[in-house]
Amino acid sequence: MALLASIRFQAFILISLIVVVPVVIVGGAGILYYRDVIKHNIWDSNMAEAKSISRFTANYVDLALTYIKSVADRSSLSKALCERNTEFLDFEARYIVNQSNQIDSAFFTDKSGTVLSSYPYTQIVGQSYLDRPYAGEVLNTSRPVVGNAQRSDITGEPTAYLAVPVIDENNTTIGVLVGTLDLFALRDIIEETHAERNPRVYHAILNTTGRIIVHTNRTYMDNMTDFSILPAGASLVAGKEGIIETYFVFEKEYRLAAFSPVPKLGWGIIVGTPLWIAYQPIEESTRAFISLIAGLLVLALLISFIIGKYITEPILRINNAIALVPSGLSKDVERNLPLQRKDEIGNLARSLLSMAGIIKSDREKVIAARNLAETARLHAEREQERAKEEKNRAELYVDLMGHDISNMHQIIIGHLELAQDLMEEKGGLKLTDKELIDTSVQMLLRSATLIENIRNIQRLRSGEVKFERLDMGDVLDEVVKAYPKSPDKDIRLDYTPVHGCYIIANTLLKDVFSNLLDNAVKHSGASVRIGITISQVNIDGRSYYMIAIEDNGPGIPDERKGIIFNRLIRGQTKAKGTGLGLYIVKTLVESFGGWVAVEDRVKGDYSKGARFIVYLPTEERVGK
Amino acid sequence: MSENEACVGVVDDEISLVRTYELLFKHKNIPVCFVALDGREALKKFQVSDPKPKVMIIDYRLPFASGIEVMLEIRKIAPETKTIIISADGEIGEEALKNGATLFFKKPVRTKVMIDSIISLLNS
Repeated sequence: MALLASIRFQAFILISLIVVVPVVIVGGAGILYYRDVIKHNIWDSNMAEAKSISRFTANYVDLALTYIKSVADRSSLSKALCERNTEFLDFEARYIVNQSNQIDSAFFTDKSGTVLSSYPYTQIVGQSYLDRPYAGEVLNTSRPVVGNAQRSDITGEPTAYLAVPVIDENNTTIGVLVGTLDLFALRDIIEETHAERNPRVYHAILNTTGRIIVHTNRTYMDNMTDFSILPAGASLVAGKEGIIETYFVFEKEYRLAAFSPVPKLGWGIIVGTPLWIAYQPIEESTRAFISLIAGLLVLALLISFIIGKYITEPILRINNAIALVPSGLSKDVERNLPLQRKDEIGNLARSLLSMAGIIKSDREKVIAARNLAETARLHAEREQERAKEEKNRAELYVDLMGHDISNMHQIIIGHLELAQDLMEEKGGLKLTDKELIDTSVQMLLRSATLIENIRNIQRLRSGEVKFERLDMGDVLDEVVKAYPKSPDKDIRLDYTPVHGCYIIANTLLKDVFSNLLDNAVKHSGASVRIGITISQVNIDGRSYYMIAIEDNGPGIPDERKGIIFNRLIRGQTKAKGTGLGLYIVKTLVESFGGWVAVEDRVKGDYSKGARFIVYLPTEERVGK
Repeated sequence: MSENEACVGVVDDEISLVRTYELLFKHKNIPVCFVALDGREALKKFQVSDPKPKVMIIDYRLPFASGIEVMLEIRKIAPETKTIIISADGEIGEEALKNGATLFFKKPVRTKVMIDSIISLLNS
């Protein structure tokens, strides 16, 4: 997809279409048209060649016949034949053969057809040739005869006999002069005439029965191969001319065969050309056209490369530079722009660089303004959050004053008014009525503690209390010594002092432990057992002191464990519960960088008591 | 406490206050059917209480349910039960009375006023 979307690729395709498509269309149509034209030309050419050889053969035979006829017409020859002057006749026969390239043998017969003289085949002298068509016909008709070419009894080769009458002064045929046509000389002349043709193109002359008498390949001549079995040979025997593509059984290939009969003689000419040679011009023109298309494609590629280098590539670089403009990296933008060019693309690049500078400047202003707005928004959010927290805290204080202290006042009023009644009714109080006074005092003390806790939270919030290095052991000692005593309860504290546990905290640390101890005593039954342990643990690679305070009170059900520390819940200031004990524990511990958790003293059974665990970072950890 | 004797029920999550009520009611001979520290406990105890309290003294702010919610549930069981809602927040008084509370007291309330009102309701 990326390649298809490339402008360089698209340019190549476009240019290829512009350059190649018209050539393909015109050239293709031209080839289709000229293919037929060329084919016809090839056929015409082959046919013309066959006809040409046909006429030439006829003339060749005519010339040879005329030659021996001119010899036969001489009076000295008729006189010698009449006188049976074999010496003269031998001389003449040798003369005929030596003086002509067309005649390779000659002999004379008397009027009975008996050979009187012969050259060079003297062995036939004395033999009767009357039964030979050419001799007998001439003696009967007194007209020249060209015999059908046939195998020679003497040489065994195809031989064409030319016979002319020898006539005396009384116009009487007294004998016959026979000359044999030199067919090899004829073949050589034909081959020389068409020497420019491929050697695999053959020329053949067939006799009247369709047998080979002349052929480029001598083997066919020696065998006088019967070509009448071929369509072209059969057509020649029938006296037809034409051209066909046909399978040649002898050569085992398809050839274009142009055939033409030789006038008067009954012979025929075949020009046989292998198809791949015959149609070579068509293939060559097709190859030339394909080469042209390939060349044009290379040209298109070259043009697209040049366009890509000088137009497309700069556009792509400008595109890259535009993409970099938002990031504001001016050097990268500049590096991608073809600023050195003097043409329109260079102008475009320079304009873009100028525009990028303006955009960068404007963008920086926008970012600065946005950052300013974001800072203001965050500040406003923080202020809003702080105001909300302050409001919640104020509502909590009001709630504490309204609910917890009102409850305490109700208890105090109830007890004191009951005491008043008793005094009025009985004139005084007994020792057994002391509870009325004790409870009132306890309520006043709890009320004072609540007020103190509120004050401590306020001090913590305002940063009034300074942080310092404290030994937690000292603080715990102090708290344990002052743990709440109750005349109604049997309280036992299991605590082994440990010193040297330094943390960074403030004096409010003792409120953490005193609140937890208060809770343990307050919510337990008559027999209170409290255990306090200190240990050091590593959590997530950090060092903490772990202070566990456990009791045997009623415990905390699981559904309440998650909410007991949240007296002040966001959006819910009127929380359940009394006092600020666990809330202030959580607030203080978190201000010291730690956290507080609660679990069952006996795992899985909350009713056996609770264990509050305070984690405070060691001094070393805080220092880091 | 005899079966026909009218008694009161007390619901408050502050155990010291519950103890105060108990002392006061004992001194004034007001029978207490049961005391409860949260809404769930109150409903459970009310269902099994025999006799049912004629007057319920319910703190508004309770764990698990508000005093008004506890009152509405009790009225479904015993519509004739009189209810006194007590709260440090005077603003919920109107809501409490609108929902059927017989009386509303804002903490701290004088014990004489409360005792007289309870006796009056018990005798009505």
